Amino acid sequence: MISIYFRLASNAIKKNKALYLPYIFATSLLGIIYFLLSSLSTDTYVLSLDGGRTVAEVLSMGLYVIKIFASIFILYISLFISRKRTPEYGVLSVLGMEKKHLIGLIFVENLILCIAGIVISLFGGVAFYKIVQSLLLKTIGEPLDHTWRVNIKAFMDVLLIYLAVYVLIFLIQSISILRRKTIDVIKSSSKGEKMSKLDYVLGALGIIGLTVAYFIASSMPDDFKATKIDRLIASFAGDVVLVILATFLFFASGSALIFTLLRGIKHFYYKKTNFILLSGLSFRMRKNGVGLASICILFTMVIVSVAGLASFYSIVDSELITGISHNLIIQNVVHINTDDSYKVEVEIYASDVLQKLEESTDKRNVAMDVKEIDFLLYNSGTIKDGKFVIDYGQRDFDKEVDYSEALMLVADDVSKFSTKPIELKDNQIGVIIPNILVFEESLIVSEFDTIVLPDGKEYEAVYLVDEYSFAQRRDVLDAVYFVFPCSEEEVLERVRFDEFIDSKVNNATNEKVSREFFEALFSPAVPVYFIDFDAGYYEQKEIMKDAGIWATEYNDDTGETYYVFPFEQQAGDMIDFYDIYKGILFVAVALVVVFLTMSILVLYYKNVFDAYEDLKNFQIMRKVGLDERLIRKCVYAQMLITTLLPIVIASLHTLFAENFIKALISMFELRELNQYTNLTLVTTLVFIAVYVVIGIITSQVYIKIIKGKAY
Amino acid sequence: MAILEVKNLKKVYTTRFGGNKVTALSNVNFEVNEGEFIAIMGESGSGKTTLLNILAALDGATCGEVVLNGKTLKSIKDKDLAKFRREELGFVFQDFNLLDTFSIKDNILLPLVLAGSKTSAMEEALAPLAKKLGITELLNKHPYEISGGQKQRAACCRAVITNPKILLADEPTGALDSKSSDELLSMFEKLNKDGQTILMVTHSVKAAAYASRVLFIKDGEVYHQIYKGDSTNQEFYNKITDSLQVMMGARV
Ligand SMILES: Nc1ncnc2c1ncn2[C@@H]1O[C@H](COP(=O)(O)OP(=O)(O)O)[C@@H](O)[C@H]1O
Ligand SMILES: [Mg+2]
Repeated sequence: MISIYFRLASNAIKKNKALYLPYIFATSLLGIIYFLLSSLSTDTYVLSLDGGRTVAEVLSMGLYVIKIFASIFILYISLFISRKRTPEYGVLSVLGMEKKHLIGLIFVENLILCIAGIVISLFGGVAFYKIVQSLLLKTIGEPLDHTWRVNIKAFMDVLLIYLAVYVLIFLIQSISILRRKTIDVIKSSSKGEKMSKLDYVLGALGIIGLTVAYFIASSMPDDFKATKIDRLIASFAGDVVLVILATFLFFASGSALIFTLLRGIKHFYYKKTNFILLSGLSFRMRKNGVGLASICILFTMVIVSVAGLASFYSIVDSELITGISHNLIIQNVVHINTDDSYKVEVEIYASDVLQKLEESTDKRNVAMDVKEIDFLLYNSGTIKDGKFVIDYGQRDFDKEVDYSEALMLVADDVSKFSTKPIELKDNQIGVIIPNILVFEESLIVSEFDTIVLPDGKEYEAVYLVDEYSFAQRRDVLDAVYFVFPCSEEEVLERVRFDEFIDSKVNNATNEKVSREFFEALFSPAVPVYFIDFDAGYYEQKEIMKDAGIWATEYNDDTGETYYVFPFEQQAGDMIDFYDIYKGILFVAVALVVVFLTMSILVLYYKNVFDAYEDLKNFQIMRKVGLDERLIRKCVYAQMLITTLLPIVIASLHTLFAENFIKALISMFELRELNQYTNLTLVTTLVFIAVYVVIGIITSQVYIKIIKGKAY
Repeated sequence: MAILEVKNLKKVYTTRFGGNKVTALSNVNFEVNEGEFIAIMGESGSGKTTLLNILAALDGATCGEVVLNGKTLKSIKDKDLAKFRREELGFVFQDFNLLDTFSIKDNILLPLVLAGSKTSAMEEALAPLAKKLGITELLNKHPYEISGGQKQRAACCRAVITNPKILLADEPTGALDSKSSDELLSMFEKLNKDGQTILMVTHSVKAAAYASRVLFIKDGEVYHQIYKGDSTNQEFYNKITDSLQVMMGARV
């Protein structure tokens, strides 16, 4: 009995090999990709690589996404094929098979497909894994690993996904068999050519939905700063859901609705090309709607995310990622004992570190650029009636006043960071307002044009508007910078620093507290070095290791690992960023392959089935007097339109998504976003090209079938 | 006046790889006069469909000649064939050959649309014909919504809407129950009374009895023919049965 089922099932699969070979190939490919990535994410060599752990983490997160898409895809295609095979089951039931026999047959068919998929996935997966691993080992110069190990976790994963999906497929197919009447089984496919009322409504909803979604997207405010990120993400997510739903409705019913409406225009419809094309198209679109809509959405996602990732990568700079404007910023690390001695001790002298850095960079032949600047002191003042009055924070806390911190610098230091010379008169003070304060609106930058110093004099505020990189650090106090055109001593004199310290010392309640302590607390003139290397971040890491200032690792009570950097440096964050990016790239490439496989298969099946149906129709038309040129014209036009519609709509989606993506990116970056537009254009063109190639290849099946027989 | 002349028609099918040759028609000769209703009878495999396909220029003859309305089929250029088929011929097939993608109305209008007729002219042609054939109510339905008999009437309507010189029908009742068959055949009769020349292929004696002349094909040749003359359908039916018996007997 069982052997009969196996014979029947394997015959059915063989007979339908035009359907099942591509199917097995595609599902196995997904299995292979999954197995490969899953193996890599736990591969000991990958983990031992610099940043390998991060890459592996991102990979294993991406695996969830791939898992979901691959499962949905296998499910969709299987059900699609089994629907096409319903007449076959109908014939069997007429020949005397009962429903339980049919279900048995379906079970064995699925069993064969499932086992074939698992076996090919595993062998292919192991082989691919070995290749990728060998390449990896070769690039890092390790000896090749000649053992063949199967990653048990990856194996189990693939097995479980296959089993779960196939159990679901089997259940759905069985239920649909049980619910049918036998007669019904035979003539299932020719129904549904006419638009029902529901179709009209759904189609209209699809068209309206797309219009509304596009409208929402295009009316996004340009003023991104003003938009709150959570609101932006919410409306973006909402719009995405709307677009997805509307796309499905549009393809399944909306496009047919448009064609039906066009058919209503008699003078237009009753022209021979339009007549054949319009009726064929509305029929085709309704049959293939779901598949084409999926392709459209997949391509939109691919284009938007590839362009988004690429532009994020190209826009993002080190300063944005790290919040630090130079590769490395060092200054003395001072320890002020607040316990009993109140001693001020320097733990690390910046000059010593600088020395070591120079030695290392000399050895490595790396150019190093060092800019020194003295931060004289922090001070604070109130802003009122256009005057900024430095008052050492002696303001009245009960009254509401505009209040800000200020940092004192001398023009000689600042000009190292400036492209233009700083020209200030003696009665003027330069003012630099860091971007971060402007964007975050955290500082009440009330306009002020006069600065009043403790020496009692009024100075004219001159706003300096260059890109002062030292001022772009994000972790410093919310402070404005005052630039003095004089010596450091002169500045301290003008702000009466000594008097201020005197008053502090005099008012100190603890006599152990020294003058030195207060000077350290309120910032004596300490040099800060802004350093840039002519080297990549990985080499910078080595240089800092040489100088003994690379991060030290330590574990807290919960066992979490922390890294402590004694100085501000970009390399740590940047290396992390690149590692994450590498992981995402890996996942993205895998996803693109998955999506492309899906699209190819969907288009392939569409063309095979369309071809056989169209063939019948064209043969009829030929008998009624349709000439071959017109047949050919209609065949190509119909195929072109149904094949290209997904990519056309996908391009439209991409176009309208632009505002949203720009807004999202702008949440991270505050500068130009033109990159996204260009990259989207490039990505869209590339994927249109890829799609057209896929379209041409898959349409060959169609043309071959029609050509042999229709004319 | 002869509207169709078939002279020394021969058709040999060669399978794709050369091997077997099947002689479907060996030497067929007959004429059809304007206004005639001819039935061609023969067993399954005797070459009836082959003959119709050649008459319709859907297939070429191996040798011999077909002259339709004074024109030799061979002389018609390939690019004019479709137009010729559309204007001179109407078809009714056993399996209806209606297009699922069209409504019944559009199925019927198809030949006119292909001919590039005006919309108003189409409507004018359709309305009276649909009424005559009793399918006015079906016009806005789709093929899958109506019965086989109704489909065949629609197909028939499509075949004659262009006023063809000759209506070719290949086993038009083959897929119909007897009631629908009778309805269709009376429709043919009615069309014929109004002047439509009809050439119908069938292996049903009952169907053939509606015709004014019956040709018998055997071994690729026209073996015999009988005229209805003034006899009723019933009398003609008996005559046909007799002839068939003779034919069968000759075979033994
Ligand atoms: N395309 C073809 N290729 C080869 N042989 C054919 C082809 N069409 C018909 N035949 C053969 O020609 C003979 C006549 O067929 P056909 O005209 O269909 O007969 P009928 O319609 O009377 O049943 C049959 O033996 C059939 O097998
Ligand atoms: Mg036949």
